[in-house]
Amino acid sequence: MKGSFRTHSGSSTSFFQRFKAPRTATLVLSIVLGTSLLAGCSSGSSEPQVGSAESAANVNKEGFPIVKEKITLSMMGPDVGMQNWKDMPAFQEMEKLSNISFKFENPPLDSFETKKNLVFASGEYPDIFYASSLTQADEVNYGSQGILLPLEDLIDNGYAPNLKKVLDENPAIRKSITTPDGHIYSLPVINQQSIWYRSPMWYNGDFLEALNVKEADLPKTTEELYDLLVRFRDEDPNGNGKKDEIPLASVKLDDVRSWLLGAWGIYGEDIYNDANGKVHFARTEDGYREFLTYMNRLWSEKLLDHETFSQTPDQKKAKGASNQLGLFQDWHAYFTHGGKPTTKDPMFIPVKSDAVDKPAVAIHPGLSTGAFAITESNPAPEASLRWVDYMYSYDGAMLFDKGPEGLIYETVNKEDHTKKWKPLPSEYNSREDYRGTLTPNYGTPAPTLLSPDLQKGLKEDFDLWVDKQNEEKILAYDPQPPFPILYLTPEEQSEISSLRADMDTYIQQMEAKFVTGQEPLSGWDNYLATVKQMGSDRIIEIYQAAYDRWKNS
Amino acid sequence: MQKNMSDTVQVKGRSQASAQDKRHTFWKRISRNWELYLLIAPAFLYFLIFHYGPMYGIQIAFKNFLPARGITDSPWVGFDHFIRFFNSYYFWDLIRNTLTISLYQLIVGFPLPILLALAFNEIRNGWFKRTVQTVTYAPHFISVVVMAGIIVTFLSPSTGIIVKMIEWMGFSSPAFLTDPAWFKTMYVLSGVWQSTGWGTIIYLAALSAVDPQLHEAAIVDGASRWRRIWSINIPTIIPTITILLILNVGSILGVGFEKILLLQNPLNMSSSDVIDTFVYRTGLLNVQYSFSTAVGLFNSVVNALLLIAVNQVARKTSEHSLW
Repeated sequence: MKGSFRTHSGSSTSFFQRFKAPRTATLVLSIVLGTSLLAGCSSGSSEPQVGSAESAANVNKEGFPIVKEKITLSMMGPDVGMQNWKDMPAFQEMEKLSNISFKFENPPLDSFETKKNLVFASGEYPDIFYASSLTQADEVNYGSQGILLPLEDLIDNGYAPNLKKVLDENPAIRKSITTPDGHIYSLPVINQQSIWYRSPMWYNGDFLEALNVKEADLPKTTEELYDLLVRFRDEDPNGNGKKDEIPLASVKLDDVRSWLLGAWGIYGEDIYNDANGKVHFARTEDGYREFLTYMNRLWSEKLLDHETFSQTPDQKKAKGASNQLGLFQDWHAYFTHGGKPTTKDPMFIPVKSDAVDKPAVAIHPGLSTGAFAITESNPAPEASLRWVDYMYSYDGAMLFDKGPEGLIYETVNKEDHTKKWKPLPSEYNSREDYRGTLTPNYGTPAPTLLSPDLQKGLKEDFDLWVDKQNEEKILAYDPQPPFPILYLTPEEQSEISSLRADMDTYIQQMEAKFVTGQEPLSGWDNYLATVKQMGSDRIIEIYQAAYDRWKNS
Repeated sequence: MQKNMSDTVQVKGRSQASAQDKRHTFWKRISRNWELYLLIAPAFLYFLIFHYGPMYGIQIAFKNFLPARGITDSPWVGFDHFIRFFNSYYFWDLIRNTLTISLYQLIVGFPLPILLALAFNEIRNGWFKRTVQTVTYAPHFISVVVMAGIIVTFLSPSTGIIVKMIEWMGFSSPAFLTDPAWFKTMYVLSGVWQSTGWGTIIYLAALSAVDPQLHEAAIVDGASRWRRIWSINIPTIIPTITILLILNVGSILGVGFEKILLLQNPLNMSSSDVIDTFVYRTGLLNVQYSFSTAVGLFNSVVNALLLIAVNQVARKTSEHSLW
């Protein structure tokens, strides 16, 4: 019986959320905005008009406060479980400066994606999406429907002086955040120093010490890696007399895949381009087949965790905390091990197979899109944009990266931005824990410009050690971003979405089967034929066209 | 001629009067029993608002739903989404998994509460009876998420207590969580553990309606305990059993979605992916609302047809049926 009530839940939710009356304050404006946008879309020739004379009149184009009369907007963003957004000093300070306050809607990070999709379907949108990881598909779909406002006119008309400066100095960034219809629907996280495309893998330093493996002797080929994993398995490196070591830990392979695929010359786990500008789909490459063969070997010799496909990330971390893992992925090794930051656990060195001369290593493109967007229900787009523009200045970025001055840090030299840490309040384990209670920019892709200046004077031995590891183990390998940041047209996007629905399930399922041996690797040809039949060639074709368009723009 | 006319007039007058009468009696009936209608009004409104109202949204199964345009104004596409589903790679897998899990659940899970209720009914010791009932009801109150957590913890290959027990007895334990062959059994048996006790309640209520004089008479006639269960208790609860069976069959394509989703992983997917998890994946995760509504609608129509068919059969073969 239970089941029969649930079958239409998808449609019923959307119906009832539509049914709720929008807040009356914004109703009139959203209708005005909505109709003007629709008019803009249908007539085709005239561009949609964003904002109104009324909402613009309340905004100061320079300095603080941003609005003359106090306004309240609604904002949606993910809750990482450290602190309520309304109690965060960063927001409180910003409210004092800007005269803009927010009503927050913060679903937990775990279910944020689902909640975000529902909000879009409901017809009742927050005024602002902050750190909401809007996908490029979201932007193209909801942007072309007029739900997300195009921001380029406001940017060029002086409502985002800091951001405009960045975009003018870096045309490549502007190119990357502009959709094929010429609009900018979301603002990015800009971090030209960022290196990790995926969090790195780390070796367990205790294990290496017990086996007397020096950092210089860490594996550089897949065979050496295999040998070391065998030693992890057999020689009891955690010294508890039990054979409970797990040489390579993983959750559904999503954490280790992109690092190991590089051994066969594959830059990304999905769509990637090679140096000649040819687009590849990793899951149909021969290198991927070699990867599966290798992982199957690790599995059958109990070198890869046999709970890889059934455990949760928390279960993996629990094993790390009891010192069972030899090689694992995390943002920092001590996140898995527990305890304080340590320089004992060295970073994984990219390994290579015989098939290639050097491993393919992916690097972060330095930019993530979808960090900030304004919806059609926003009564004050100009003020909202001015608000977020502050995050692209040094002061604003600092406020939202570390919280207001005097809590976690204090300035030593105002001229060259040198700072130092303040003593950590005793109730917090680490500075990162404390930081998470000060600002929403913790574990979320928030709109900002992260310049090296932000860290000036704040780098400790551990950070410098990580920098050095990055230098030696990633930057030294001539890394490239797997695929440029680019947008598909709404038509291309919807074709990709429907092609990929079944294909992604099939690929994920077959990967697990090949690795665990449920399906022998002799089934590869069959797999390849099925994936092709599901339209993998068409996917490559679409992305190739988008890539060429991006390159020539 | 005149006579005829007067006849027609008369007839007309009579029929008008009777229609008026009907309307009159209808309102009279309502006003006479207004308390009863008031009593049923909340339930009636509940179904109207929360179960019939949302059906307005079903139309997006035949449209290309665009949030900005809303349900009514999105463009029509006819049966495209249905055709895409029927041609989808996973169509037959989904149907097969949904049917086998449901049937498995029905065959194993349906008779057990009946047997347990008959057994409870035979217990005379009040304290013992209450204790056993409470113990068997208790798992019902565990939420699905916690339940899935318990299953995963107990069956984990490295630390699971059940796996350890099997190994301790000298057998090698199957990979319950990842072997597709074990998924359905794991799902059904954990469901049996959780819901059998609770399922007895309705049968116990039915059993309390048995006339004690029948038992007394049977005892006088020398009937054994088995004989009495077979000839008195079971026939009494047959109508209840039939109705519940019809209702169960009616939801055969609607297996409990949350538990399956929580126990699903890429390795057991080939036997754990059912229509509802597919709808969740395409609808909420891949944002293809129209497509997933079409799949959900297909599911509901099949359920409704099964319900009607089984009810038809029940009505033909016995005197008990839903309507």
